[in-house]
Amino acid sequence: MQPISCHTGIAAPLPMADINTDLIYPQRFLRRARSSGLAECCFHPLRFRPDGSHNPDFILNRPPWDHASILVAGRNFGSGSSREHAPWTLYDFGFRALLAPLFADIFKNNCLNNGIVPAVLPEAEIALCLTAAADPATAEFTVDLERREVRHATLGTLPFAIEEADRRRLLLGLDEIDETLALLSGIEHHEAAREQGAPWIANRNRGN
Amino acid sequence: MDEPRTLYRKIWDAHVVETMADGRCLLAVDRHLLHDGVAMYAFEALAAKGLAVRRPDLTLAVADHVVPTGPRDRPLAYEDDDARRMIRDIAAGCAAAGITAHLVGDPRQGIVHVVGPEQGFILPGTLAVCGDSHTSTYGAFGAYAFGIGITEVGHVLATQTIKQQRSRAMRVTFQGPRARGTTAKDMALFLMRSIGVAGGTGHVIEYQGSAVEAMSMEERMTLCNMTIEVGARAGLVAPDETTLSYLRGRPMAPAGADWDAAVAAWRGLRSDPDAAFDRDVTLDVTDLAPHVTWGTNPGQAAPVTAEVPDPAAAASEAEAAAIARALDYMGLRAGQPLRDVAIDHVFIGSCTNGRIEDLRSAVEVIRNRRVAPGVTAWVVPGSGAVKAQAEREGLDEFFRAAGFDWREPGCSMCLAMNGERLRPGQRSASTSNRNFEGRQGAGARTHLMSPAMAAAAAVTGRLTDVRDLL
Ligand code: SF4
Repeated sequence: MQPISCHTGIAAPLPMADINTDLIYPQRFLRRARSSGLAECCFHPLRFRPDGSHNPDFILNRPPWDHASILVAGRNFGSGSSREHAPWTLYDFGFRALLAPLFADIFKNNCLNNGIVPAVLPEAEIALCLTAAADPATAEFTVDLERREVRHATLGTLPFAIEEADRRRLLLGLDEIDETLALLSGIEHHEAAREQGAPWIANRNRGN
Repeated sequence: MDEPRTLYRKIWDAHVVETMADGRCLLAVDRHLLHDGVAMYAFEALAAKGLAVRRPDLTLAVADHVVPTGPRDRPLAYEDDDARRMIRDIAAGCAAAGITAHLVGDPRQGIVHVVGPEQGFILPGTLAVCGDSHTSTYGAFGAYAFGIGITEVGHVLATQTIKQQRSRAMRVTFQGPRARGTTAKDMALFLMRSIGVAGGTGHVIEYQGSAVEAMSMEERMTLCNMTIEVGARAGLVAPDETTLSYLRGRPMAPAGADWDAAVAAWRGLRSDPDAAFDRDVTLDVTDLAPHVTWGTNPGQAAPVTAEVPDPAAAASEAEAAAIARALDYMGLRAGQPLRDVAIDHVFIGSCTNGRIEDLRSAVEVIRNRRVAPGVTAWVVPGSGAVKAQAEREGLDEFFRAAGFDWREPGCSMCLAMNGERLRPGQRSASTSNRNFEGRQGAGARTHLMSPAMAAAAAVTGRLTDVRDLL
């Protein structure tokens, strides 16, 4: 995973609450290989009309937001399914940071595994960001993970919330598996102790 | 004296391997379930790093998401080569790693969250994960169970652990008794409606109260399954006699001395009387009416006796816009009685309501009745074992006689990822868990409800109060 510390780019406003991962990445694309590039699936039901043509009214189909790399969204962004295709498609589209008052739990975790910053701001400040992002003249934002702040020409500096553990993960971009495998002896020790006290955990009866 | 702990905290503490430098805990995973929708990606990620599956003995795999549910006596009509590849890859990956897999052709194949519990793989006090958000289902057993992403599936396969920060604890108390015609699904929809689809975010919910104690395991699974729809990481019900009698003798459940030791330990698996919860919600279900959803998230639900809500009456502008958008997608008018809404399709199935009790409760309604003209009605049993049990009880005959299509197990039209989907504009009465835009097919309109309510809609052709048919 690519580490990320500070990102500047065009922010796209998406002023809806409860945007779910079905809307971000519909199920009919769930069989695609990650390597095939998933940018075109991003917000497919909103970006395309039922006949397959581009919906010119949708924000991500209009300049400058067709090159957006920051998304400002309503509360509970990323609710629903655990599909990691949601952050994949956002990443492939170009998004590196998301601003919202609340993120769904599994989605947020998937973002952290894919180098996307989920930055939490209060509802009132998100409202200001939505307005600023909607104007091409003021659509550029900086999301600074190092300093936990959003910077903007007219809004000034807005601190955002992110768990320290989450911030570190993004900043370092470490491989979680390597990090865990370094603790293997502790894991084995824990398993052995637990199976001693709770032998049924061992799943000896594998039903075959 | 030790500080009183919640059930969640007890399970958590028992699984902490180590506290990481960043404050997260490394937790041991006791049970991991794999399905065809994620296995391909996860095995690929593992292969790219040259890693092996560390504990195949603690993993169980099934095929469900892309499996067509038409007759099995002919070649399966997979949607495309990508679907075929997913089935090939889960089979090959599991065979290479030595993972027990109930795939197509195995009589135990079915939806992951139906198969895991019914095989006895999910046990009280365990930590269970799966690359699917409805893993919360297993909380019915007093297991700490939650959905994870594909990167995390790879991490679990390689290490049999997961890193996580502890959530806050929330208690939801359902006071009963529950009225006739009202089900666990109605309680779940009532909860979504009461606290909203983000009302549980950041929390693990423990369900308590007389209405929960009275529930069967199937009902508890329905309730815990829908817990992810309020954004909570997991739902939990403390194990009791109901749990034990469900588990005893299941194929993968512990046996002999292991069983006795397990039962002794499970008896202590409950929140201490004075344990502190960060949040408490109490809901009275005594007069609860059957619920249906009218909108495009599970919280947009109402008693079936109500009318479609009016955006003008909403509490805020944002709320009004959300309602208006949902009504537009759903093709509904504000003020229209929900019972006037005509449906085209009925889907009885999914990991929420595809279990044997669900099928029995639907049969109670359709017995000696016919599916209404113009309505297509499907029953997709949650697993091969559910299907076989239903056939032993003759339920399939009742469904067929009423004009239902009796199908093979899989996720089917819950997610419409296997090629089975509705056409744009078609309206469905569905026992699944999500009524999101496009969930059952682009442009399709989904009303969530219990199996009994879906059965009632099937025979009348519109949303119906099942209590009028009982
Ligand atoms: S039945 Fe639906 S919700 Fe359940 S695992 Fe399958 S697709 Fe997911």
